Formats: sequence, structure tokens, C-alpha cells
Amino acid sequence: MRLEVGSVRVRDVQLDGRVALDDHALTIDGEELRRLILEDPHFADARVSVVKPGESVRIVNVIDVVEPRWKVRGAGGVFPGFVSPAVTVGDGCTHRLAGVAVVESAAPVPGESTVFRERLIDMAGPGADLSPFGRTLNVVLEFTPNPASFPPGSEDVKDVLSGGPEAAEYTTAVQAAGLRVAARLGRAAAAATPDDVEAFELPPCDGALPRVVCAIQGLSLTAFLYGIRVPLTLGTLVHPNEFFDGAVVEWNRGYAGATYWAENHPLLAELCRRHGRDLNFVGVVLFGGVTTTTADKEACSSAAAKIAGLLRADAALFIGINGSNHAVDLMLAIQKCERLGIKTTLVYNDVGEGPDDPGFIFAVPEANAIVNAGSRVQKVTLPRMARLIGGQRLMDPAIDPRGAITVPMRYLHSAVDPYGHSRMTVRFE
Amino acid sequence: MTTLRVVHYLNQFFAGIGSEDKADTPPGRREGPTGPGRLLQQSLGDRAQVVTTVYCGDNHVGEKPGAVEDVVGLIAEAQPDIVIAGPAFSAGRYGLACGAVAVRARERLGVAVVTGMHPDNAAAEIYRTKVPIVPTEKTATGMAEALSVMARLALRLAAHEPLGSPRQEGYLPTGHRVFHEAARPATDRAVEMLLRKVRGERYTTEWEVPRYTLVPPAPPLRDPATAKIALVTTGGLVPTGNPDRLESGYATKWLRYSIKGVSELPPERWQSVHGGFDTTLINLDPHRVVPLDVARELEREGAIGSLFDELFTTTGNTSVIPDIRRFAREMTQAFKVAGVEGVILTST
Repeated sequence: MRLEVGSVRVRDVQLDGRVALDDHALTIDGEELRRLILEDPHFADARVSVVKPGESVRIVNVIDVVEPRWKVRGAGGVFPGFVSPAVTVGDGCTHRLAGVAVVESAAPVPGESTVFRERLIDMAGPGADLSPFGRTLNVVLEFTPNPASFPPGSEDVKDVLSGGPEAAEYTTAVQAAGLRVAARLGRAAAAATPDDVEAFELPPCDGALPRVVCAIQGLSLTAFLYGIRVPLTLGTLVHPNEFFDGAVVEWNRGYAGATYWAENHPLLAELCRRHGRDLNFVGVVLFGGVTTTTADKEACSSAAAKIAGLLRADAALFIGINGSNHAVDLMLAIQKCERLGIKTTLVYNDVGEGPDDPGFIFAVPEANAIVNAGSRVQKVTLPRMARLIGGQRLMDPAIDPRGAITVPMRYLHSAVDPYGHSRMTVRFE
Repeated sequence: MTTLRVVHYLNQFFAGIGSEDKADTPPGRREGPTGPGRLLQQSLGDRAQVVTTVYCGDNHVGEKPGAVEDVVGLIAEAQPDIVIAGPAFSAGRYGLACGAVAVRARERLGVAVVTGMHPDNAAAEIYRTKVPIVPTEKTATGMAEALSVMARLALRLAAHEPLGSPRQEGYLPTGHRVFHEAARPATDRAVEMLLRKVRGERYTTEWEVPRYTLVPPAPPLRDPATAKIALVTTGGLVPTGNPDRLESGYATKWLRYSIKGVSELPPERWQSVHGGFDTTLINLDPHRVVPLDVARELEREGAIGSLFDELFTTTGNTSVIPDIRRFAREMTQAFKVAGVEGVILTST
């Protein structure tokens, strides 16, 4: 499996009557994209706008962020299971519109889960420096739900974490629409000559190099893999190239996560780059899900360690969730790997506040190599923005979304997460 | 340059009064340095002078209500610029006293405070986030070295010079967070750390996991039929209206309510204020979290000797570990005084 990822750098995006890419300037047809969204009966209307770094704009109610990509050679297509057949991807050649992000912004609907939902993007000020999507050219999609999607009773939510089934179905439709748009825009780069091409491949290599797995606990709790959203409690094995072709689509209700970072996974890309030189990258273990019992947590952590063991891994690079009971699954998986002789390192976010709170929900002594990828509860003050996109209010009705606000860092989309792209960290003194 | 005034706090042992048999010694003071205070004076040099030594027995300061205030009152009389407590090495009660005296002296007098103890001293975990604690050896063999660092830090603080990081300056980590941007993204640091670890090379974690201590369970009661049993809950059960304002999370206190002669906890008189779960079912029947009804039955049947007259209650939700440790210590002391031999602790 060899994937060439060709980056076509985009320096400007304009709403115009056609989709085209000309000398690194992307023009998009808002009406065509709107029709593409409205193919799905969940929506009564949709709006497409373009916002750029430096504009005094705040985008609220952000669901997912996706990078436009298109497969120009090889089996299947991008975002398999959503816009392409659900066949194994990761081979051939894929073009990406570097510097462009499709932002799905959808206000809550009846039965919406409110947990973890607050995400926003500022295009100017300190928020734009902190969130990577304050620095991208953003094609923002807004949605008007079709009321028929929400029959009486839709607002009744028994499970606060998951929300009602109609709301979940609607959010899936929002994400599917965002992926269709991202693929459509990516297609504009099909014939372009990439500015640079990077090949990702894991050929057999020097047997003396340490065998490394990347063990990823689903940050969005239950992501879509090839369009299928099932808990990976018992883990599964994935090739990093599948991520780069959009086989993993993050779920908005998660603790953190953006499909953009699954497509551009910095840790997976770095492990690929070092394959054959410093290490032997043997695969990605995806694991995790909502586990509500001790038995489930034992099963989940055991499965992750078992897969790493079957791959005869010497080392496992973990990415995981802090701040909820999922920390137990993660820490147990680390402990079980170490007991199998697999050395672990963890990329993790701080969720503690105050000097008496060490910042861990749960920890094992074997977790003795941790990279602190920043605090999700660190407060950040964002100035007033001139324009608001994506709704008139935040989940917290007490906050005027247009005004100056002080919010935890996790509200800023992708400002703090453990994908590895950020330099934010916390030192304890 | 004026010479800074230093008060040195010691326990009865280091003040030369006596060991365990003198642990009930009440607070007292002496002019000038005493015992290790002479070494402290050497470390301070001519910039500061140990004008007074204040001492107290370890049991007295730990058990007598108001004892810490009395100690700080004596310290205040000497009008210090600096208060140095200990070092306590691995002595548990002495460590707690040093921490409490240092915290209170700074609160009341606004002076520079420093203490010292072994990192494994239980008081270190409680007070390291509140006052500078210099790590010491387990025993007094490390006295001179400890006092030298303590003196240096105290002089810096008294001069209102900000301290550098614990690692640079030689005090225990305080849990203070510094948010910053690393030189390289997490990806680079993570892959490098992993490679170092798997190659057996040196690496440093960026974030230490907390050390949990295992609590050995007490031996079983020899004869429950003669034992006095107490009911304790972390389920946030309080009299209706929560008159004593128990917090629904991040509890800073525990409360005691008389259940003398009471055989039931009716829902109109008791409620749970716990903020970590749906309290509906408990508020319909408080016995679901404090089984007083069944405990009284057991008492009548003679299965247990007697029930302690008070219910101890707090909220075990998002609690801070040092606070919860303090609750346990305080509750245990009360139980020992009352002759309680067993506890039924109901959690949620």
C-alpha cells in the first residue's frame, strides 16, 4: 500500500459561479454546493460562505472540519462509506487542497446532546492564533433543518451523552454533507500539479529497528470508519494511509477531534516518515468506545494490548482521552502493554484545575512517558467579533457569542487535542 | 541594611524538651536560636537573625483545637519578617504542624515562610501546593543541607524576589501550572520520547502521574456483637435545606449530625445535595444511601453492639485528594475518642 499525497497550495478562495482552481486560487460555486447539500432531505436550506484569516468573524456551533481531498489514482475514493464505495483505501495518489477547510456549522436541533458540543472558530485575534482553523481559508456551511426530520417526541432525550436518535441522524447528515462538499472541492485539484508530493508506504525494513504501533483511542468516542459508526471496544487494525484518504471521520459529539486532523494525522505522518530509518511502523490500533462497566473496560484495554502484542510491537505510541471514565480504558491499555513488554508513550491533554488537582482522572504508574499536549480547561479570553456565523447563541445562554468572551480552551476548535499538531503544553512547577 | 527578624518553629524534640513523652507540651517561646536554630543562623549569615524560637509538642499542636493559632500568636509577638518551620524530615505529625504553622503564619502575618521535610512525609503532599517545602533526608543527618536551602529561599522571599522553578531552586513541585508553547510540536516530542524509551535511553516525562497510596484494610472486627459501629457517607446526605451548606462537589468540609434515638431518616427531613448523580431515588428514601433503618434493626437483634450517636457526612464528588485525606484523619480521630470500632461507609 503506497499513497502519494499531493499538496496543492491554495492562496485564495472566492465565491464565484464555478468550481475551479487557477494558479492556486480556488473559486467555488455556492449555488452548486448548496444543491449538493440539499440532495439530503434532512435540510430545508443551506448557506455557503467563505471566511479568511484576519476577518473579524466568529463561527459558532461548529460540528466538524474537513480538508478537501480527491483521489486521482488508485482503488476507491476519498471518504469511503460516505462519498465513495466502502472499499479499502490508502493506495494510489490523492490530491489535497492545502490551506482550505470545509467547516460544518449547525445549531442544535431537538434532542441534541449538549455534551462537549461547544466549538467555535475565531478568524482574528488570539483565538485565530490558537485554533489552526483561524489560519485556514474556510468554506463555511450552515444548515436549516427540515422540520419533518423531527417528529413530536424528538426532543425527549433519555441518554444525555448521545442525545435523541433524530438529532444523531441529523448530525450524521450534516457531516455527510460536509464530506460531499469537501470531495467536490477536492475534485477541483484533480488535474492540478501538486506543489509537493509525499509518499506514504510501510515496506519491509531492517529487522533490528523497534516495531512501533500507534494506539489511538477514538477521541470522538465513536468515529465513523468507512462510514460505519460502531464502538471499537475490541479494537481494530488500520493502515495509516487509510486515514489520509478519509476513511476515519470523527464524530462531532466527541471529546475532541476533527476529520481534518484524521486526514492530516501528524503523529501517523511522522511515524511513516521515520519508518525504515528510526523505527518499523507496523500499524494503527484503533480502540475505544463508550464502556460503562468494569468488564467492558478490561475487555477494551486487553484488546488494544493484544493487537499490539500480535503485531509483535516493541513500542506503542498512545493517543487518548483524559477527563472522563475513558481514561480508565486508556490507562489500563498502557499498563497491559507494558506488562507485555511493549514500551509506551502517551500524548495527552491536561484537564486539571488548581495546584491540588494533578490533572488525571485515573492513572497507572506504568504511564511514565507522557507528552503534555496542553490544557483543555485553560481559560482564554477572546475579543468581540464584528460578524457571527452559525447561529445566534452558544449552548450556554449566558454568553453573548458576539462579545468578548472568556471560555475554556476546548471551546476553540482543535486548539488543544492530542493529534500532535500543537506546541501547546503545560509545565508543572 | 536592616537585619531581618526570623522566628524558627520546632517540635518538642528538636527544642530539646523531650521525645514522645513530652508530645503534649503546649506552645512556648525562647529568645534566640535553639538546637538546629544555631545551624539555621549560620546559613542565614548576617542578613537575618533568629530572634525567637517557638515550639510545641506534636500531639498538642495536632489535637488541641486552636493550637496552631496559639503558636502563630507567639510567633507574631516576635514581629518576624521570616518564619522557618522545621525541617520535619519524615516525622508525620511534625510535618503536619510545620505545614499548618507556615500556612497560617503567612496568612496572618504576611511574612515569608519556608518549611522542609522528606518528600514522602504525608504532610508534603498536603502542603507542597501551599508553601515552599524543601525536600530533606529522612532523618536529621540531612539537617545542615536542608537548613542551608531553606535559609536561601527564605531570604529570597523576604526580599520579594520571585522564586525560580522548583527544580532550579530546590523545593518540592507546587502543582502550579505554567501554560506555554513548547519549542517543538507534540508529535516530535512524542516520537523522540518513545524511541528513547524503547532504546533504553534516558528520557523525562513531561507530566508525572499522581502516586496513589494503597490503604491496607484494618483487620476484621473480632466481635461485631459488642462493637460500636458508625455510619459515614460520601453521598451528600444532609438535613433538608442543607443548613450547614455542604458543597455539592469539591467539598471542603464534612459534617456530623446526631442520630441519637433516631431510627429512621424520613425524606421530608433529609436530602442529598450530591452533584455527581441523579439524587431522585435517594431523596425518595434516604436509607438508600444511609441504611440507618437496617442498622437499627441489627442493633436490636444484637448483631452489632451499638450504633454511634452521630452520622458523619460529606460529598465525595470531584473532591480534592488532600481535603479528603484530611476528612479521613479528622473523622478517625473523632471515632477513636468515641470508642468506635467499625464504620459502615456508604459511597455513591
